[in-house]
Order: sequence, then structure tokens, then C-alpha cells
Amino acid sequence: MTRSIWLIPLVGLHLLILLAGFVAPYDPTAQARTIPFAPPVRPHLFDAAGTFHLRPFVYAVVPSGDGYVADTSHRYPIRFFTRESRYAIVPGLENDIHLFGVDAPARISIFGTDGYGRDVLSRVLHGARVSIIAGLLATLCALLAGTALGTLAGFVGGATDKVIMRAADVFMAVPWIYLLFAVRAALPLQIDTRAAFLLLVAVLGIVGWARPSRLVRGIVLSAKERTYVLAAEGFGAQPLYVLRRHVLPQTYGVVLTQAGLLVPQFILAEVTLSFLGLGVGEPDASLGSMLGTLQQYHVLASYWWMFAPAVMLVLVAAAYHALTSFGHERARLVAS
Amino acid sequence: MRFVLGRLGHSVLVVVLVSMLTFALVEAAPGEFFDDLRVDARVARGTVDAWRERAGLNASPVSRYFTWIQSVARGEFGVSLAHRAPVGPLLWQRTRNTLLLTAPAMAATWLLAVPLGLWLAARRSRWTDRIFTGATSTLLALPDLLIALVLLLVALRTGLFPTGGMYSPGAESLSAAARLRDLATHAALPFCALVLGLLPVVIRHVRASAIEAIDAPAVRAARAHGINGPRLTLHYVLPLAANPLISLAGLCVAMLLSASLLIEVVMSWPGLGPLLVESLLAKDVHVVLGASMIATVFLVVGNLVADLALFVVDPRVRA
Amino acid sequence: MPTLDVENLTVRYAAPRHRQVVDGVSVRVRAGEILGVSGPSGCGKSTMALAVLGLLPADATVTGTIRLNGRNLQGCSERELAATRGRQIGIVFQESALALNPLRTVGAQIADVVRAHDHCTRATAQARARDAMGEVGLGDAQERLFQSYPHELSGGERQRVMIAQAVINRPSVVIADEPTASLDADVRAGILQLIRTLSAKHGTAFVLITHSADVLAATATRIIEMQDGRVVAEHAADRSPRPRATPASAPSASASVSALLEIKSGRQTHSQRRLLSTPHHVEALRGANLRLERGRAVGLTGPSGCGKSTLARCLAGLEVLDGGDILLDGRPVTTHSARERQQYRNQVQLIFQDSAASINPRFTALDVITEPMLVQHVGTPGERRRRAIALMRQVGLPAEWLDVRASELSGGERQRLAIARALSTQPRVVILDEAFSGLDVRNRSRIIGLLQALQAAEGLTFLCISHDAEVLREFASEIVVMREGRIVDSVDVPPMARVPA
Repeated sequence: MTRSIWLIPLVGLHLLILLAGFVAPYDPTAQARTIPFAPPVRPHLFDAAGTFHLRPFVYAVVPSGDGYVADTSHRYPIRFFTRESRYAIVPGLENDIHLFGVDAPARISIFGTDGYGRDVLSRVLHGARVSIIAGLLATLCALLAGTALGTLAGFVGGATDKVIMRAADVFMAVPWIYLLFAVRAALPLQIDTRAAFLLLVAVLGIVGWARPSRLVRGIVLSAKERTYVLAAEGFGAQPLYVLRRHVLPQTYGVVLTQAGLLVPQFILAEVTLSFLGLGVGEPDASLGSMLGTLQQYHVLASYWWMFAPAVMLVLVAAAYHALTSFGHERARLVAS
Repeated sequence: MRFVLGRLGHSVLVVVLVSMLTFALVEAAPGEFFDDLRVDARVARGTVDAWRERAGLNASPVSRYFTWIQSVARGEFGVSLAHRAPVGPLLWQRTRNTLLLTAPAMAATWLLAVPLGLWLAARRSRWTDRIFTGATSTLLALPDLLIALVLLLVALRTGLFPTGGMYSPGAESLSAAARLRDLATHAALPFCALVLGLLPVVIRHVRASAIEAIDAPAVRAARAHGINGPRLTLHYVLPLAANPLISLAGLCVAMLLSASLLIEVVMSWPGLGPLLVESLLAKDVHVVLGASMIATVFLVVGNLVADLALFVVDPRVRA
Repeated sequence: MPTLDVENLTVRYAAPRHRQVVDGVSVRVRAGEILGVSGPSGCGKSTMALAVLGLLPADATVTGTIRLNGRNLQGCSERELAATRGRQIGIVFQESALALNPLRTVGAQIADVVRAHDHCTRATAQARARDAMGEVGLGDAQERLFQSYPHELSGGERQRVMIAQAVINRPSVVIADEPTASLDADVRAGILQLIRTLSAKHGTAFVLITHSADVLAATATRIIEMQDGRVVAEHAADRSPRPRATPASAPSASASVSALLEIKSGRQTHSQRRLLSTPHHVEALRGANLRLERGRAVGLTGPSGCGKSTLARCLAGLEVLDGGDILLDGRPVTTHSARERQQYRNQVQLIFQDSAASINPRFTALDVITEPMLVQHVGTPGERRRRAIALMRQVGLPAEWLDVRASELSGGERQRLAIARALSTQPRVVILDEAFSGLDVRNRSRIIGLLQALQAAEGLTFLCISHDAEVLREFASEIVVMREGRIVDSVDVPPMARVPA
């Protein structure tokens, strides 16, 4: 099916981002105060004299007046699998080999540098990693809580159902950003990175359980009334068996669709919080805080490459939308 | 009638529960408004304690909740610690500003989406479908944040629109018409940002509902009897498509409130959004509570109106 | 000149698979004729009807000529076609609940058909609608019905409304697609009578599409049979009455033979919780008495809502009686311990109406058949599988299909699977609740044959519930009639009248 082609960008994007440490040429927090807001460095194939070189190269960037100029005197070819700063793909697995790089003192900042001279591409990749992992974990929390509570409400019914649904009503009655802020406010404002990240995930999970639980409850309610459940009960099936074999499998579809919707939403929520200084902050790389600098007019007007985090966001959102429309296509074909 | 009262009661209950929930959340927050002052060596300890006593911060949470509820009933919504004035007037002003943006945005979105969605549903061809899906997917993939920032950039670069705020400085001295124009130019960009964010969602749903309605057995049967044209659209397709759309309208209120918060902050529009963020950072408790409650009430009212509309439109709900 | 002349009609779909749904069908209908079109489901009857009206989706390719009163409809524009629909050719759909707009009053919908073709005032259209309602037999409650919404009407009333819509502009021909499928026997008779009256009074030609032989026998003047998109037979209708069962003067009471299963004075009340009003109590069973003798097949029939399904569920142990007794082998069924309840349920099995609903579509055939054994912890997985194979053979399904998903089986095959599942607990009584309603004639005969074979081989006792008396006459030796929660009549079916499968 040609539709599966859409999964490739999604998977590719995730791989790229999870391997951020490897793909990014520099450490995201390494500053280079001499070249703040340097424009993107272009790889060249032809040098100033017009000679063609097989291996692309870059020029060093030198401050000149108000801006920068490329120093064409020396070529710095792009090398692959260079050794640079250390990073950890997962805690415990450290390395210092990067996908590509150039010799010092040139810097291959493909997306330029920010106010502290840090490489924007590296920061975007690392920031995206934080955002995506936060989004995935938060979705997992919200869906686990939502499915558990929704199944409980639908299957047991009675007072349990009423209480849980009333709680869901309350959580859904507040516009989600306001709820997000209120919950965020309940936690300490200034916190260190690791704690901030986990806190964020927890907050998003708490905010997001209500709608999935309602949907799951609906499915459980209708599945409970199916004739084959009645038949199974007639054969002597116990409630747990019915739940496991007949009811829960019906929820998988909804849960998956919800996952496809919630992950981009939660990624965006993390970015929003960081944008306003309530999420992952300096000096760590975060898409939101990077976009936050765009609120300063001089940055917004002059340094277009600072929009790079937004481009990454759009790519991620587009990839997830492709996933959900792919899911819809599959569901339609199965139904027809 | 019973239905109406039932829904009304439910809504009131939900609002009350939300007030308790938000109060509890804000209560749980570590630290408070006077923390900075406490650390400041120039301020005597006794002064801070006295201020705290005056602000009523020493009372128990439950009694503080009830004090606050009473204040809400009086219309004061408590006292802002930062502004040292009742929160009420501040809230109303900011709410009015937010409504100035969101109400026209809602109206414009639906006025555009319904005819366009119906038209697209009637003319289904591979090309229009592809272009439509492509355009809406692109718009949907753009986060509100990005749209707002790009519009801000447009404002900076072209100078056609102001880059923030609600009025130009010195606007009070202008004539009424000129003030209105000033307001309009300031509101234009945030308004566009809101509409661009909401339109693709609504138009997709309108088209999908219209397609489902057009394919419905009742519409096919009506066509089989020779009913077509405006009569078919008005009496058969639209009513059948209206049901899910009414629920969507209720959801739109929620989406607009959330979207407007961010857009107001980015574009410096003095609405509920920036108020919430500032007061959150300053731990100005009553303002946070007030802003959240107002937003909740709007959402609940929006859903209530949608439910009532459903009741009126669909006779099966009345049965 | 025939009113409707269809010649060499073919309908082809390109997607999702290339298939020919109607293949060279030629049909002629004259004024005043009632042409019956019968055939198994999927033979192309409804597609043919939609093709005549020009209402097929855009991806269908239609070739052939369709002449209505001499005019070829194939070459007409959409506007011209819309002008003929509802004016010269009318249609009555099957599912009245779906074909009527739930959000518009019934009177307005009938008036819409008038105003779509004639530029008249609203008052005139409404007056004509009222007349039409009177003509189709809704004259008595006319005022109430005119302002009502479709969901407030009964099935029979809705069907009459659709007929009113179809005939209000006096078309030359009316196509009725399964107009009585979801109706009870007496309501059905009324609708068929109406069709005959309209045909005689106005000379309207009717094309009656149905798979029910009874309907055809009662109404059609000529019958064509379709199969796989082609016409395979055409003949005049046989109006000779089918042999009717002679009513017994008294219910067959053989006191010497003790009943295997019996219910005495069964009472059951359902309470429906309405949203904001007082709970609604429905007395489903009001003193029902029934005897099932060993080895016999008894049919149970009655109008919808009479309590047949409730009785079935109570007998099968799925619901508990509020009053009265159930006796198995002459002894009251003790409903005390869970184990005893389960043992009882094993002996009295219920086969549900909708085989698609009573089997989890994601389950494989093996899962379905072995579920009772699995849940009751009977045997090892290997033993269960062997038993499943034996049961599959017994119901006539190939053993290789054990790992096929239930969703991939046809309706008839699923019903066999349900029977196999029921047999896995070695029951003595099998209750069939409307088990044949979704099946076409061919499948139905096959299943009945299977049941008769099981009856002979295993000595099973059957209680067969159906609103379709024709089915019961094929299978049961005694038919019991139920009405409003009570058994009111009992009729013996002589062996000759039973049509062999």
C-alpha cells in the first residue's frame, strides 16, 4: 500500500531525533561567545578561485563590523564520523563520535548560532528529543490512566461510573491550556532539568486522562451489551475473562487513534510551557525556550534561522498527522 | 423542560467542582506571593507577617475557599496581591478584551467554513479532495505559536500592522471612528492567527458531516422522490449534518480559549492570557483563580448552549 | 406498450474489485401488473432498482436501455431524471426507519414530494399530503400523524408513509424494495393489501422486490427469479393457496408422556430506566405456560413485543423469572448454586438471532466453539481442539476452517458455528431465537436440514422462535402462538404440510 510510505518519514524523524547526540555536530550547551547569532554556514563545492573540490567544505566565519563575513583563505572540508564532545544516547552508553563535523576553529553551523554562539542545529535536535520523549511518555501516562479509569467506569458501572465521569467532566470543563497552567502552578516554578522533565510528563498525563477515559468508557459500555458477551456469560464466563477476551480488544483502535492525536498535542504543550519559561529552561536545549527568544523584536526581524525549532515542530506534527490519516485509511478499507 | 433544568444543574455543579479543583491546585503550590519580600533583608519580618495577616493568608484552606466564594458572589473575585485592588474589575476588562478577539474569530470561522464545507461536499472530485486535504493538513500541522510568530514578523517587516498591544499610545485623544480603526488594526493580526488555527479543523468537520449527510439513506430516499436543489440542502442535508457540528461548536469555544491565551501573550494583546501568565509567575493567587474560573464558565456555557441547541434541533433527543 | 421496459441492463463496478453486479437483465412491466422479483441476497435485485432510477454511485458503469413510457432514461441529464423520479416512477425503500428524515415531520416529508414536482403553495401541498395519507390507510389518525416525527410512528405506519410518498404524484410504475421485510405478519398483510388496491385502482405497475415466497404468492401477478445478476426464471404467479395447517380442537395433551422442559406461570418484568422520569415497567411475561416434549420440535410465534425473546432467555437460564417455575424432567430447576445454574444452562442452549452479533468477529472458529469448554475448564487444549473438529464436521463446516476468523465467514456459516458452539456442552434442548431471520432461502433450508439431522441423530429437543410462520411450518411439528406475555394458542402441523428442505 502506498499509504505506508507515510510511515517512513515518521520513523525516520524519530530515529534522527533519538540519535540526536550522534547526528548533532556539537554539544548543545557549548557556547562560543565570539560568534553570537552567526548566520548559517553554507557548504561549498567550488572555492573562491573556481576550482571544484569533490569533498564539500566550509569557510570559517569571522566577525566584521555589524555582521559576519566568510574567511575564504582557508578551506575546512567536511568530515564524517568526527570526534567531538561526549554525549550519551542512553544513560550509561557514552560516545564521542559525531555524524559529521569540521576541524577547529571553523564551525559547521548549518542553522547558524544563537545569542550565546551555540549551534542551532544541535540545540534543535536535542530539544526535539526532549519534546518528543516528553510527548510520548505523557501520552503513555494519560492513556494508561484514561483506559484504566474508563474501563473501570464502563465495566463496573453504578456509583463508580458516576464519580469517574463527573471527575472527567470537571477536568474537561477547563480549557486545556488553563488546566495545564493551573496544574503547573501547583508545582515548584524553578526546578532542575531532570525533575522538570518528569514533572512535565506527570502534569501532561494528569491533564490528558479525561477525554480518552470517556471514549474508552463508551466502547466498554457498548461492548458489554454485545450478544456475544451475553452468550459467553451464559457459558459461565467470569467478568475478568469477558473483560480480557471480549471487551478490552475493542478499545485498542480508539486508544491508538487517541495516541496519534495526543502525542503531537503534548509535544506542543511542552513547547508552550517552555516558551513561557515554565518548562525546560536554560541552559538546556528546548524548542520552546529557543522560540522564546523570537519574542525579542531584533531577533525576530534579523535572525531568520532562529525559526528552525518551529520547522522541526511542523515536521513532527505533519508526520503524526500522516500517521492518523493513514490509520483512518486503514480503518475505512477494513470496514468496507 | 426537565432536560433544560437537568443540564443547567449539571453545569452549575461542574463549575463549583472546578472552583474547588483549581483552588486546591493553587493551594498546593509551594511558595507564595510574599516569598521575595521575606528574603529581602530590608523588610522587617513583622511587616511581612502583618501583610500576610491582612491578606488573610493565615486562615485555613477551607475558610479561605469560602471567603473567596463570598467574594466571587459579591463580584470582587478576591483581592490581587500585586495590584492591591479587587480582582473583579481587572478580570472584566481583560475578559472583554479576549472576547473582542475570540467572538469575531468564532463567527468568521463558521461563516467561512459552513458554505465552503457544503460546497466542497457537494462537488467531490479527486482534484478538489486532494487540494483540500493538502491545504488543511498543512495548516493543521502549523502550531499556533508559529502562526503567531510569523504574523508578528510580517507586522515588523511590512509595518502595515502594529506589533502588539491593543491601542496605539495616545489613542484616547482620537475621535471615536479613528479609535475604532486603531483597535481594528491592532486586532487584525491576532484575529487572523485565531482564524487560521481554527478554520482547518472546522471546515474538515463540516465537509465530513455534509458528506455523511449526503450519503445518508434519508437523503438518498429524498432524491429518489425527486427532491433536490435548495430544498434538499436546506431541509434534509443541513439538519442531518447539524448534529455533530453543534457538538463541534461547543468544542470550538474550548479551542479558542486555549489558542487565544498563547496568541495574546505573543502579540501582547491585553487579554486573559497574559494576565494568567503574569499572575502565575508572581503567585498572585486570586487572579489565577479568577482567570481560570472565567475561562471555565465560558466553556461550560458554550457546551450548555450546544446541548440546548441539540435539544431544539433534534426531536429524537426530546423524546 | 410496456410501462417500464428494461433491456440488457448491466451494472459494473471497477473498484474496489472488478465485478459485474447486473449482467444482461431484460424485464418488462405493464400497467396494472405486479411483477415480483425474487432471488438470494446479493443477486442484484436492489442494484437493478437503483439503476433504473439512476441513483447508483458515480463509480458504477451502467449500460443497456431503460425505457419508461417509451422514453429512454439512459440518455437523460440529471435534471431530467430528477423530474421523473417521484413523478413517473416511485420507489418504496426497505428500512423505513432510515429512509425517512428523522428531523422532519412526516406530513412535511410527504408534502415535499409534491412541491418537488409541482409549483404549488404550501397549503395545497399539505392538503394533497393529507389526501395521500388517507389513501394509504392512515386517515384515522391523520392529524396526529401529520405533525409527528418518524420515530414516533410504528413500523407499519412508517411503511405506509413511504408508500404515500411513492404514489402521491400518481406515477406509472412503483418499485418496492423489500417493503415488508421488517414487519410482523399481520402488518405485512395490510401493506400487501394496500399495494394490490393501489395497483387495481390506478393501474399503477408495481415491481415488488422480495426474497419471501409468501409475499410473492400473495401479491405478484408475474414472478422473475434472479441469481448472480441474471434472470434465471420467469413465470406467472401460482395463486393457489398453500396447504394450511388444520387447527387442532384442543392443545395436544398427552399426559402420559412427561415433558422434558416446562415453564409454568412464568412472570417477568423489565424495568426501563428513563433519563429523568419514573422508571417504566414492562411486563414481558404474564403467566406463560409451555411444554416441550422429548425429541420434538416446537415452534413459537407471535407479534413483536409479545415476549418471545424474554421467554427464550428465561428458559435458557440467562434471565431469572420473577414468578412461576421452570421444570426440567419434571423437577423444578433449582437456581441456588452457581454450579447448578451452569449445569442447567449447559443442558438448555440458546442460539441467538443475529449470528454476527452472538459471535465475536475477531475470534477464530476454534475460539468460538471451544469457548464454553474453556470457560468451564473442560479438557486440555488438545482435547478441546479435537472436540471442535468433530463438532465442525457435525454441522457441516470443513475442519480446515478452525483457524479462520469468524468475520470472514458468511451468515449461514456463522450460524452453523453458533450451533456447533451450542452443541459443545451436550445440551438436551436447543432454543433458536429467530435464528433464521437474516438468512436467505437457500441457507435457511440448509440449516433446517442440519437441525433435522441433529434431531434424528442426537434426539435433541428444539424450540424454534420466529415471527415467520412459513419457517416454522418447515421445521416444527407443533406451533405455539404467544401474545402479550401469554401462550394463547397451539396448532399441530401435519407432516404433509411440512416442506422438506
